[in-house]
Amino acid sequence: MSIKIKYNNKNKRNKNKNSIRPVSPHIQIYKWEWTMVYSILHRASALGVGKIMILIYLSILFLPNDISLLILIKNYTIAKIIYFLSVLCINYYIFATIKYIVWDLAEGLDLTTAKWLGHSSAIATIIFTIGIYSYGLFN
Amino acid sequence: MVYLIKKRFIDILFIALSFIVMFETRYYFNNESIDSLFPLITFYIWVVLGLLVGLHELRDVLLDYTDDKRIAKKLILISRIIIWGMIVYSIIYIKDLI
Repeated sequence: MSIKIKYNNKNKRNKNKNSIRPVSPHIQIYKWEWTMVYSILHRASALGVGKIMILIYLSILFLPNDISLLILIKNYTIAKIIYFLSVLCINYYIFATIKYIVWDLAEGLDLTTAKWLGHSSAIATIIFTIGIYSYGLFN
Repeated sequence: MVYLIKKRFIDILFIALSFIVMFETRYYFNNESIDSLFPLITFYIWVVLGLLVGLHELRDVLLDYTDDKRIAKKLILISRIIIWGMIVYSIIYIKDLI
Protein backbone atom coordinates (compact mmCIF):
# COMPACT_ATOMS: atom_id res chain seq x y z
CA MET A 1 0.00 0.00 0.00
CA SER A 2 1.50 3.27 -1.00
CA ILE A 3 1.12 6.34 1.14
CA LYS A 4 0.58 9.53 -0.80
CA ILE A 5 2.26 12.49 0.93
CA LYS A 6 0.76 15.85 0.22
CA TYR A 7 3.73 18.08 -0.47
CA ASN A 8 2.51 21.53 -1.13
CA ASN A 9 4.09 24.96 -0.64
CA LYS A 10 2.86 25.22 2.96
CA ASN A 11 4.56 21.97 3.95
CA LYS A 12 7.73 23.12 2.24
CA ARG A 13 7.68 26.42 4.14
CA ASN A 14 7.13 24.68 7.47
CA LYS A 15 9.91 22.22 6.72
CA ASN A 16 12.32 25.07 6.01
CA LYS A 17 11.18 26.97 9.10
CA ASN A 18 11.61 23.94 11.38
CA SER A 19 15.06 23.08 10.11
CA ILE A 20 17.92 25.12 11.56
CA ARG A 21 19.43 25.73 8.13
CA PRO A 22 20.30 29.34 7.32
CA VAL A 23 18.26 31.02 4.63
CA SER A 24 19.67 31.62 1.17
CA PRO A 25 22.18 33.20 0.26
CA HIS A 26 23.90 31.72 3.34
CA ILE A 27 25.72 34.88 4.44
CA GLN A 28 26.10 33.44 7.93
CA ILE A 29 28.18 30.43 6.91
CA TYR A 30 30.25 31.65 3.97
CA LYS A 31 33.68 33.13 4.41
CA TRP A 32 33.58 36.78 3.34
CA GLU A 33 35.11 37.41 -0.08
CA TRP A 34 35.48 40.61 -2.10
CA THR A 35 33.22 39.25 -4.87
CA MET A 36 30.55 38.50 -2.27
CA VAL A 37 30.81 42.02 -0.81
CA TYR A 38 30.46 43.58 -4.29
CA SER A 39 27.49 41.35 -5.09
CA ILE A 40 25.68 42.42 -1.89
CA LEU A 41 26.54 46.06 -2.62
CA HIS A 42 25.11 45.66 -6.14
CA ARG A 43 21.84 44.39 -4.67
CA ALA A 44 21.73 47.21 -2.13
CA SER A 45 22.55 49.86 -4.74
CA ALA A 46 19.83 48.57 -7.10
CA LEU A 47 17.26 48.79 -4.31
CA GLY A 48 18.67 52.25 -3.53
CA VAL A 49 18.21 53.34 -7.16
CA GLY A 50 14.51 52.41 -6.91
CA LYS A 51 14.10 54.45 -3.74
CA ILE A 52 15.96 57.45 -5.21
CA MET A 53 13.65 57.45 -8.23
CA ILE A 54 10.60 57.41 -5.95
CA LEU A 55 12.14 60.37 -4.06
CA ILE A 56 12.79 62.29 -7.31
CA TYR A 57 9.25 61.58 -8.44
CA LEU A 58 7.76 62.79 -5.16
CA SER A 59 9.94 65.92 -5.27
CA ILE A 60 8.65 66.69 -8.80
CA LEU A 61 5.10 66.23 -7.57
CA PHE A 62 5.26 68.20 -4.34
CA LEU A 63 8.11 70.76 -4.55
CA PRO A 64 7.02 74.27 -5.57
CA ASN A 65 8.31 75.42 -8.97
CA ASP A 66 10.59 78.15 -7.59
CA ILE A 67 12.65 75.74 -5.46
CA SER A 68 15.36 74.03 -7.49
CA LEU A 69 17.27 70.97 -6.38
CA LEU A 70 20.42 73.09 -6.26
CA ILE A 71 18.96 75.41 -3.60
CA LEU A 72 18.01 72.44 -1.44
CA ILE A 73 21.43 70.79 -1.82
CA LYS A 74 23.33 73.99 -1.03
CA ASN A 75 21.29 74.93 2.03
CA TYR A 76 20.42 71.72 3.85
CA THR A 77 22.87 69.18 5.25
CA ILE A 78 20.32 66.37 5.02
CA ALA A 79 19.82 67.18 1.31
CA LYS A 80 23.61 67.06 0.84
CA ILE A 81 23.79 63.63 2.49
CA ILE A 82 20.88 62.28 0.43
CA TYR A 83 22.44 63.74 -2.73
CA PHE A 84 25.81 62.13 -1.97
CA LEU A 85 24.25 58.72 -1.23
CA SER A 86 22.10 58.93 -4.36
CA VAL A 87 25.07 59.71 -6.60
CA LEU A 88 27.08 56.91 -4.94
CA CYS A 89 24.25 54.40 -5.38
CA ILE A 90 23.57 55.24 -9.02
CA ASN A 91 27.27 55.25 -9.93
CA TYR A 92 27.94 51.95 -8.18
CA TYR A 93 24.93 50.39 -9.87
CA ILE A 94 26.11 51.61 -13.30
CA PHE A 95 29.67 50.25 -12.95
CA ALA A 96 28.65 47.00 -11.27
CA THR A 97 26.11 46.38 -14.04
CA ILE A 98 28.80 46.95 -16.68
CA LYS A 99 30.79 44.27 -14.82
CA TYR A 100 27.79 41.90 -14.92
CA ILE A 101 27.33 42.51 -18.64
CA VAL A 102 31.00 41.55 -19.17
CA TRP A 103 30.36 38.35 -17.18
CA ASP A 104 27.23 37.64 -19.28
CA LEU A 105 29.48 37.66 -22.33
CA ALA A 106 31.49 34.86 -20.64
CA GLU A 107 34.55 37.06 -20.11
CA GLY A 108 36.55 37.60 -16.92
CA LEU A 109 34.96 34.77 -14.98
CA ASP A 110 38.11 33.46 -13.27
CA LEU A 111 38.48 34.44 -9.62
CA THR A 112 41.36 36.89 -9.95
CA THR A 113 39.81 38.79 -12.86
CA ALA A 114 36.40 38.79 -11.14
CA LYS A 115 37.99 40.28 -8.02
CA TRP A 116 39.81 42.98 -10.01
CA LEU A 117 36.71 43.80 -12.03
CA GLY A 118 34.97 44.40 -8.69
CA HIS A 119 37.83 46.60 -7.44
CA SER A 120 37.90 48.63 -10.65
CA SER A 121 34.13 49.20 -10.53
CA ALA A 122 34.50 50.43 -6.93
CA ILE A 123 37.35 52.79 -7.89
CA ALA A 124 35.39 54.13 -10.89
CA THR A 125 32.41 54.68 -8.58
CA ILE A 126 34.50 56.72 -6.13
CA ILE A 127 36.02 58.89 -8.91
CA PHE A 128 32.66 59.56 -10.61
CA THR A 129 30.89 60.18 -7.30
CA ILE A 130 33.44 62.78 -6.19
CA GLY A 131 33.29 64.43 -9.64
CA ILE A 132 29.50 64.65 -9.87
CA TYR A 133 29.04 65.54 -6.20
CA SER A 134 31.52 68.41 -6.49
CA TYR A 135 29.89 69.61 -9.73
CA GLY A 136 26.46 69.69 -8.11
CA LEU A 137 27.73 71.36 -4.95
CA PHE A 138 30.15 73.97 -6.28
CA ASN A 139 28.86 74.76 -9.77
CA MET B 1 16.50 33.43 -19.69
CA VAL B 2 13.87 35.83 -21.05
CA TYR B 3 13.79 37.51 -17.64
CA LEU B 4 17.57 37.95 -17.63
CA ILE B 5 17.59 39.40 -21.17
CA LYS B 6 14.78 41.79 -20.19
CA LYS B 7 16.67 42.80 -17.05
CA ARG B 8 19.93 43.40 -18.93
CA PHE B 9 18.09 45.35 -21.64
CA ILE B 10 16.61 47.66 -18.99
CA ASP B 11 20.05 47.92 -17.34
CA ILE B 12 21.77 48.95 -20.60
CA LEU B 13 19.07 51.53 -21.34
CA PHE B 14 19.35 52.86 -17.79
CA ILE B 15 23.15 53.17 -18.04
CA ALA B 16 22.94 54.95 -21.43
CA LEU B 17 20.32 57.39 -20.15
CA SER B 18 22.31 57.92 -16.93
CA PHE B 19 25.25 59.23 -18.96
CA ILE B 20 22.93 61.50 -20.99
CA VAL B 21 21.34 62.80 -17.76
CA MET B 22 24.83 63.40 -16.31
CA PHE B 23 25.74 65.61 -19.28
CA GLU B 24 22.49 67.52 -18.96
CA THR B 25 22.82 68.06 -15.21
CA ARG B 26 22.88 71.85 -15.59
CA TYR B 27 19.20 71.88 -16.60
CA TYR B 28 18.09 70.06 -13.49
CA PHE B 29 20.37 71.84 -11.04
CA ASN B 30 20.04 75.42 -12.20
CA ASN B 31 16.36 75.27 -13.05
CA GLU B 32 17.23 76.68 -16.47
CA SER B 33 14.48 77.07 -18.98
CA ILE B 34 14.61 74.01 -21.17
CA ASP B 35 14.64 74.84 -24.87
CA SER B 36 13.75 71.40 -26.15
CA LEU B 37 11.71 68.63 -24.65
CA PHE B 38 14.54 66.12 -25.08
CA PRO B 39 16.18 66.59 -21.63
CA LEU B 40 12.81 66.46 -19.90
CA ILE B 41 11.62 63.33 -21.67
CA THR B 42 15.05 61.70 -21.15
CA PHE B 43 14.84 62.51 -17.46
CA TYR B 44 11.35 61.02 -17.11
CA ILE B 45 12.29 57.85 -18.98
CA TRP B 46 15.43 57.61 -16.80
CA VAL B 47 13.33 57.86 -13.62
CA VAL B 48 10.90 55.18 -14.82
CA LEU B 49 13.77 52.88 -15.85
CA GLY B 50 15.36 53.42 -12.43
CA LEU B 51 12.10 52.35 -10.83
CA LEU B 52 12.04 49.22 -13.00
CA VAL B 53 15.62 48.45 -11.95
CA GLY B 54 14.62 48.72 -8.29
CA LEU B 55 11.57 46.56 -8.91
CA HIS B 56 13.54 43.78 -10.60
CA GLU B 57 16.07 43.76 -7.79
CA LEU B 58 13.31 43.69 -5.18
CA ARG B 59 11.87 40.65 -6.92
CA ASP B 60 15.27 38.91 -6.93
CA VAL B 61 15.82 39.64 -3.24
CA LEU B 62 12.34 38.41 -2.33
CA LEU B 63 12.85 35.20 -4.27
CA ASP B 64 16.18 34.70 -2.49
CA TYR B 65 14.61 34.85 0.94
CA THR B 66 11.25 33.23 0.46
CA ASP B 67 10.05 29.95 -0.93
CA ASP B 68 6.61 31.43 -1.28
CA LYS B 69 6.40 32.85 -4.78
CA ARG B 70 2.82 34.00 -4.16
CA ILE B 71 3.97 36.76 -1.77
CA ALA B 72 6.62 37.90 -4.24
CA LYS B 73 4.11 37.87 -7.09
CA LYS B 74 1.61 39.95 -5.11
CA LEU B 75 4.27 42.52 -4.23
CA ILE B 76 5.44 42.68 -7.83
CA LEU B 77 1.85 43.20 -8.98
CA ILE B 78 1.38 46.10 -6.54
CA SER B 79 4.69 47.67 -7.66
CA ARG B 80 3.73 47.25 -11.33
CA ILE B 81 0.45 49.07 -10.73
CA ILE B 82 2.34 51.94 -9.03
CA ILE B 83 4.90 52.14 -11.85
CA TRP B 84 2.26 52.14 -14.58
CA GLY B 85 0.45 54.88 -12.67
CA MET B 86 3.69 56.88 -12.68
CA ILE B 87 4.26 56.27 -16.41
CA VAL B 88 0.72 57.46 -17.22
CA TYR B 89 1.18 60.51 -14.97
CA SER B 90 4.51 61.33 -16.69
CA ILE B 91 2.90 61.15 -20.14
CA ILE B 92 0.07 63.46 -19.01
CA TYR B 93 2.60 65.85 -17.41
CA ILE B 94 4.77 66.03 -20.55
CA LYS B 95 1.69 66.35 -22.76
CA ASP B 96 0.59 69.39 -20.70
CA LEU B 97 4.00 71.00 -21.24
CA ILE B 98 3.72 70.58 -25.00
